[in-house]
This record gives sequence, C-alpha cells and structure tokens, in this order.
Amino acid sequence: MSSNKPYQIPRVLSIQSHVVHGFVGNKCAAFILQLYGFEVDLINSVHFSNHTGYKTVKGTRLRVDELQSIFEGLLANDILEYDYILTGYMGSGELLHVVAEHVKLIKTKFPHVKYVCDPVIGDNNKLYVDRSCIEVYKNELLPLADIVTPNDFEIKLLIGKQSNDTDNENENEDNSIWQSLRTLHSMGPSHIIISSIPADKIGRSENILQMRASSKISNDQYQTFRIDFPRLESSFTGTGDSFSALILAWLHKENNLVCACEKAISILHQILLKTIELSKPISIHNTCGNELCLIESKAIIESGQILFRAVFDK
Amino acid sequence: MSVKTKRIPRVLSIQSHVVHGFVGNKCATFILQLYGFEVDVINSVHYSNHTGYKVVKGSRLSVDELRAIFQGLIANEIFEYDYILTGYMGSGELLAVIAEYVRLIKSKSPHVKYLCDPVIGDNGKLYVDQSCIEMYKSVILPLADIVTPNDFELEQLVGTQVKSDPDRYEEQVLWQSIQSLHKMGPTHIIVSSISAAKLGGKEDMLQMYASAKSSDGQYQTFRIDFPYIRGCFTGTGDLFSALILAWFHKEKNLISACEKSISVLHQVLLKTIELCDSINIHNTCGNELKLIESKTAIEAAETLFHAIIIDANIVQ
Repeated sequence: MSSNKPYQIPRVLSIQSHVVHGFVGNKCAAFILQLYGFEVDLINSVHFSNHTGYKTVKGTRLRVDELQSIFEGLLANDILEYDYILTGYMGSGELLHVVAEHVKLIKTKFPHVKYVCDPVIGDNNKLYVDRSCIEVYKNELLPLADIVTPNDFEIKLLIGKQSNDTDNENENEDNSIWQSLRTLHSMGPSHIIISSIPADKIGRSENILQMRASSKISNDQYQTFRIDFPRLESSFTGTGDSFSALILAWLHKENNLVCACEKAISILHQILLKTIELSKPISIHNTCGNELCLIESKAIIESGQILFRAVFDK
Repeated sequence: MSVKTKRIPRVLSIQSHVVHGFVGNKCATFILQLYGFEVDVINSVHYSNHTGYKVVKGSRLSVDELRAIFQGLIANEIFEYDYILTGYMGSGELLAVIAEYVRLIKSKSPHVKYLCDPVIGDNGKLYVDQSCIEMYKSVILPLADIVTPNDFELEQLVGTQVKSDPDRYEEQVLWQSIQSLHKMGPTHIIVSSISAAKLGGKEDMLQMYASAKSSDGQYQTFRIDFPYIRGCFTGTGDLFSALILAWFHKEKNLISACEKSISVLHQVLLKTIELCDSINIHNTCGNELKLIESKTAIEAAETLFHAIIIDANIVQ
C-alpha cells in the first residue's frame, strides 16, 4: 500500500481513451476497477463520440501541453500518488514520452508502484499508431513497465523481429514465442502476457485460442505457462482494454500472475458470452462488431469464476 | 431469431470530468453504472481536480467540440436515450447547444426524461454568469422534467426571494416559488437541503422540499427531514441528482425516489467521515466523497428517512 493508512483503498492512474458511447479504453477500465474497489484517477487521452470502428468518429485528442498541465495540477496538489499505473492506446510518440516522464517520476517517489502497460501499436499486421510510438515504447516505457500485455503482432514490433513467413514448423513457432518473451523481458518488464495467439499457429484446433505468459524470476529463471480457451465466432471491441483492467485487479487481489490470468481470461470469456446472449442490434455504422455488455456483466465480473486453468511449461 | 430481451436504460450525462476525485460525471457514472444503467458520458471539462483545490489545470469543451460530439452520435444512429442528465455548465453558449439537442432527442423519443441540476450558485454566491441563468430560464427549464435547485437557485430562477428575513423562510413563500417554477416547465421539483433553522425548526436538521405536478394539474408536495452532518463535502449535489435519476427510474414516483436518495446520500456522507483522515491541505473544499468505499451502502439503499406529505390546502 502506498500509505500507512490500512483502510486506504488501492489507487490506480489510468491513461486511456474516453468514448462518450460504448466501451473501450477508460470506459472499460473505470467500470471494472471501480467495481473491484479501486480508486481510479482517469486521464482521458482522447474525448471521442465513439470508438474508431464506427463510420463516423468526432472529438478531440489530448495535446501534449494539456497532458503536461494535468500532471502539473496533480503534482501541485500533492495528489500524484498511486499504487498502480495503467496505460493503453496513446496516439502519438510525444504523448507517450510525457507519460513516460511522469511514470518515472511516480515510480521514483513510490518504488512499490506497479505499471501495467498495454503497448497498443496494432494488430493483424496493421498499425493503429504512428511509428514514433514504437520507439518510445521500446526505449522509455518498457524499461518502466512491470507487466506488459502485447498481442503477437506488437511483441514482434517491440523486439524488432521480422515476421517469418517460411516458419511453418509448430515446434519452431512454439520456441520462437518463448524466445520473443525472453527478449521482451530483457527490455524491462518482469511479467508478460500475450493474451491470444490463434492456436492453429501452434498446431492446435482452429477453435482454440491460447494465452502465453511469462514471469522473470531471476536472470535465468522464468515461470512460463499457457491457458487454452475457446474462440468465439463474433467480433468485439474493448476486449484488450477490459483484459488489462482485469489483469491489474486480479494481480492486486491474488498477488500472482497465474491466478490473475486464469481469472482475467475466464471473466472476459463470460463477458463475451453475455454480450452474445444479449444479442443487441449492432449499429449498421459500427464496422467492428459488438460493444461489450459490461454493465449487464456486473455479476459475472464480481463473482470472478475461473473456467480455464493454466498449464505450466517445464 | 433470438427473443428480444429488454435492454437496460440509457442515460446521456453531460457534466464535468475530474481526473482525481468525485464531482460531476465521476459521481454520475459510478452511481448510474452501479445501478445498471448504460451511461453515455460527455465531459464538459477535463480538469485535474475540482475547483476547490489550490491548483486546477485542464481544459473546457468548446461549443464546436460539443456540437461535433453530438453530430458523431447522430451520424452513427446511437443518439437514443431514456434519460438526459446535466449539471454544472460554465457557459450560456454551451447550455444553448445542449437545449438544442435535448429538444431534438425529446422530439424523436417523447418518453425521454430530462433531469436538470440548474447549477447557478449557493449561499448567496454565484458560480456562473448571468447568461447561464437566462439560458436556464428561457430554454432549459421548458425542456426539463425534473429539476434539483437549491434554495438560492430557486430564487434566481423564479426571481422571488424565498426568505423575507436573512435567517427565516416562510414555508408559504417557498411553496409559491416552487409553483412558479412548475409554470416554467418542470413537472418534478426537488429543493434539497434547506437548513431547518431557516424554517424555524431544529438547527441540526436539514429539510428537502419536493413537488410533483400531475397531468391533471394536481400537486403532490412533501418534505423530508434529515440530520445535518457536520463537515464540508464536494460532489454531494452531483451524487444526489444521479441517485434521484436512478431511483426515479426504479420506483417510478418522486416520493420513493427522494426517500431513497436522501438516505443513500446520508450513508455516503457518514462513510466519508468515517474513512477520512487528514484533508489534503490544498483542498479548500472539504472531503472528497468516499464513493467507492460506499458501494455496499449504495447498492443496499436502505430507506432511513421518510417523506411527510404536505396538505394540499397549504399550497395555494
């Protein structure tokens, strides 16, 4: 705990997007973390009508000087004090740099702080951000991060690996994933979670997805594990942001990565099932699939039921 | 084809956002989401913290930016609500734009209820300029279904003095002012926390006065007495209007909504005092509400205070 007061609930600083309608970024993080009893300070990196998968997106981005200003305000009032920091999508390298500066400041003052970084760069070979962000993640944010949650596209960009098209051997792919994790560890984070690798990439059924995670215990000791879970037919937005919030919450409650991953992936899966079950009509202007039914999943989120268990690697 | 399940109620809330603490949309979002509402959140400002702190940094939403947000929601056909909620708005121009779009929403969906907290000031002090007061009177109140002014705001809106003497209210004058406010639009009026000392009652009690006007012109008027809690708090008004919206939806009548809301608010204040250590010296406005820690009390919503129905004959 950051303070000596035993009744002080844990405090999170979350820097992510704000959408007026729907659930991505801070809309996901705030709901989940507040439900779990965290005090959440929310810096909104954008203020958009809705997520960028809709036909129309209107709104503004937080400028670098505005972000600086917000931090100055919190500092001047002595309220820049946290147990956790959480970041997600950030549109520019400059913004990320300001974030890095202040994460460093916070961690220097409060060494116990854990920084959960979702290095949002892109997916399926497509970039969501400009290239400048990749450099800032590599050089400034990863060295500060305790936990990172890249997807397999992001991990390759961060470690500077080329996609190897000729690599078809399942065993090599498996090995190459573990190598990538090891390389990423050396860049800073002691905990890494790749939340969903399509299992057919590693020789498993097309209907299964696999999470891979790794904790660096010492210079040559790692605890690695995987969790298999079913792929669902539909497409959703906000799953990554919900996942990182769940990871943060359960890591705090359980104090170990294995449990946190089991909880997070199980709860996320149940939220997706609930979203499908409620089959709300999707706006025809939304090209990205279902908005998560987070509000309707409150009981699911609170119950924290585990459906999928980790399997340890040797 | 799946069976169409009843969807959860949708609120559009246009209020301040503070990075740290609980005022405006930070209060409203937590409360309403906890109670099972889908909340679309338009942030009228993005500040580090509320304005009672020594330092406030951040930016305000411009009129163009607000319009752009509305246009985005309309273009994507997601501009559909059951409730609209507004609180503190720093400019008359913003209020004018809001009125435009509230009017649009209500004309498309006549069932929509607009809860307006007409934030103008308190204790004789204005928080906003005259242009806001004019906007409330001319374009906002005619659209509002439920309003939650304090006694100072009631005076500003109807233009009469609720107290003839600085320390005394006449209950009659209060009811007359409420009736005048009804004529300006709202069918449901809640004047929260008038000090009972001002009405000749016990000094350590506060009173809430409310009035619901039915479609056939009948008034249901009532009052709730509740204990004054020593201490300064921020966000209580925003918390109160979110609670009113939630409980009005659940209970479908103003009396129950007020009983629940006042009771829950009271418990949140007690919890806040219980858990508060030293107040941050940079915060001149007292305690930030301990909303997260009050989750159980908010959900349990025990009724502690009951309404006293006022005889209709007293109201002219």
